Amino acid sequence: MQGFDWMLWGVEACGIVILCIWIAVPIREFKQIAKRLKEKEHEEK
Amino acid sequence: MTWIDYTIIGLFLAGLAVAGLRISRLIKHSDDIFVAGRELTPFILGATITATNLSMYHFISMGGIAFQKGISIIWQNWTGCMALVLSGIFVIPVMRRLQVRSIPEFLEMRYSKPLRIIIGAFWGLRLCIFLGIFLYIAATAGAQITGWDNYFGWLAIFSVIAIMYSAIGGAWAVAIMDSMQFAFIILGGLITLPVAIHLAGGTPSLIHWLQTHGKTVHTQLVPTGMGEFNWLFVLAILLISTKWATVDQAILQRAFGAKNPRVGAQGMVLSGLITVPLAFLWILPGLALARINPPGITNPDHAIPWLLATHLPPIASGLLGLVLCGLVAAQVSTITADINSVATLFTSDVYQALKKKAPTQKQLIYVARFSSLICGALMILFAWLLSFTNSGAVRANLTVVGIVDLPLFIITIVYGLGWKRTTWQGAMAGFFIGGAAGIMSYMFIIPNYFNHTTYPFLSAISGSLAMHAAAWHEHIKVYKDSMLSIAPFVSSGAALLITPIVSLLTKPGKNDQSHKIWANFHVGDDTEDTFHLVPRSRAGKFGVGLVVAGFLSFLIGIISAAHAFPLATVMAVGGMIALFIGGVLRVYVE
Repeated sequence: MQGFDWMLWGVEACGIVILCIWIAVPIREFKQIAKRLKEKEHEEK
Repeated sequence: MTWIDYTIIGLFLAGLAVAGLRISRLIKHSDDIFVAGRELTPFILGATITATNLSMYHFISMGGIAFQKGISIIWQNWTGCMALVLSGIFVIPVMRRLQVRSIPEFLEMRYSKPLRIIIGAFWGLRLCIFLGIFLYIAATAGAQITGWDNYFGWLAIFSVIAIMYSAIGGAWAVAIMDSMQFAFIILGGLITLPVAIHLAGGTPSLIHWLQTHGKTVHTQLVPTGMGEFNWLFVLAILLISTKWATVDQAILQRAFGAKNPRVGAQGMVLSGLITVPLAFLWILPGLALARINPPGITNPDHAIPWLLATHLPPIASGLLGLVLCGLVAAQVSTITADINSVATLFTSDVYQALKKKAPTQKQLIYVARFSSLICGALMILFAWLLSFTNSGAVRANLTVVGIVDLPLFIITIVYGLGWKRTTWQGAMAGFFIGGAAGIMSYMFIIPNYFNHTTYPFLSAISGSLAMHAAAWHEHIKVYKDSMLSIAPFVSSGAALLITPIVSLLTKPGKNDQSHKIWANFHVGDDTEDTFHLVPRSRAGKFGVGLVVAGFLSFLIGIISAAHAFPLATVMAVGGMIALFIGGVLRVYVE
């Protein structure tokens, strides 16, 4: 496709995908870590 | 800047403070401050390593160099990404198994306690210089963007935010906040890039313009001729990046927070992988500025702030505030991570190592917080010294790194892991003589490199050196533009030579702990640890093979660029891609 700025929109697309993944996955993982820490604390008590 | 921009930044900073305070409740043990309780998963680790790495240095300073010298500065990121993969596969698993908190701690295990204390103190100081460079960028950008031209006011604002945040939360805060800040960093880049490229008439038009207006070098990924950021720079930055990914305290400390060695390796590979496309987010706006041509800008660190301050507010109110949140986030996360590293070095490697009686957890946490404050004061001092220069943060950073960092890499990784006969005396001599050789190379080739008002002593030595070696100096002074690329080879070459010579002249010490290092080349009893340095599966072996082949192709590509080989860039970039594919296969498929 002539006139389409592949470089610019390719980088933008990559950035948006990485951004979405990096919002979704760490939230889930932090929840798991928090749960594990609570369990550990409970066991220590 | 409008009141909407200030409100957005104010809310963002308040959010950071509240989150920091909430996270501080997680701190129960000093390991929570230093290595986040060793609970981090690959994605969090990848994000936290990337966010620790990304800062205004990339968006402002590297963008500024792209504006001045062209796209080849992107190799500073790309070689860093490659080094993360190599370090993740070959070095981090061994280090993670040793359960060390810092490189000096490793040095005690490998060599001796005095070496740990001396290098711990020296390295803490070195990190304060690095932090000074980061603070300088933040203050320069703050003054340029807001129009409030008070350099010391900005130094104070950024220091207070970073020190408070770092002293409250430790590594847990750094890890969790990094993940959140990472999103803002990317968002800022995603907004700035289309604006800059639009102003330059689109990427194809920009490239055509640069090639037809005497700026062809700006578009070359691997410039072939003489110059500051040419093929030799790519080789030098590869060496520096390898050092960074294997011995940099901030990066290693994040990786040591991994749940197990495999997770450490996965986090490093992921971090390298995502930074490759992201690098365009800060390099392309800089390249676009070469066409936009901001008026009267000589300091590269002023170019991107000019673009933001001039062209974002007319598009939408609050857009500049949003982008600045990303930049402040990037800067705060890097500064806090490094302050955390300095606190680790002083507490764990100097204070704890000097004390005869084991300190309590409370004492350790107190010393960690106190050293964060001292580090903050030193960082302000170095940022003030930097305000006298006009050559930009990238050059300042590469000068320091090229001189003092590589000898540490040589004694820690090359001889520390690779040659059992190395003694602590050899390591100490290699470290200091390597650093001295790096400084001397600058003094010898560029006699007026050190400003005679700010550094009278260094300036005097420099002048007399060149005078006494007049013929030699005349012969090599033509290479002064390539000094950033030459110094790393001089300092690491001297360390490579001196360390084995002194080691062979001294008796090996009776270090009871070094056997642990060699034992950790193999998988231990930990059931969670299944990461073999030499992979067992066919996919793993293929992955390592691809990493090695990709690396060789990259090296051949860069070296052949010196002879203007037409396929040099293709080989270098192709090699890099192969290395990443191999890295992913290695850590995920086995």
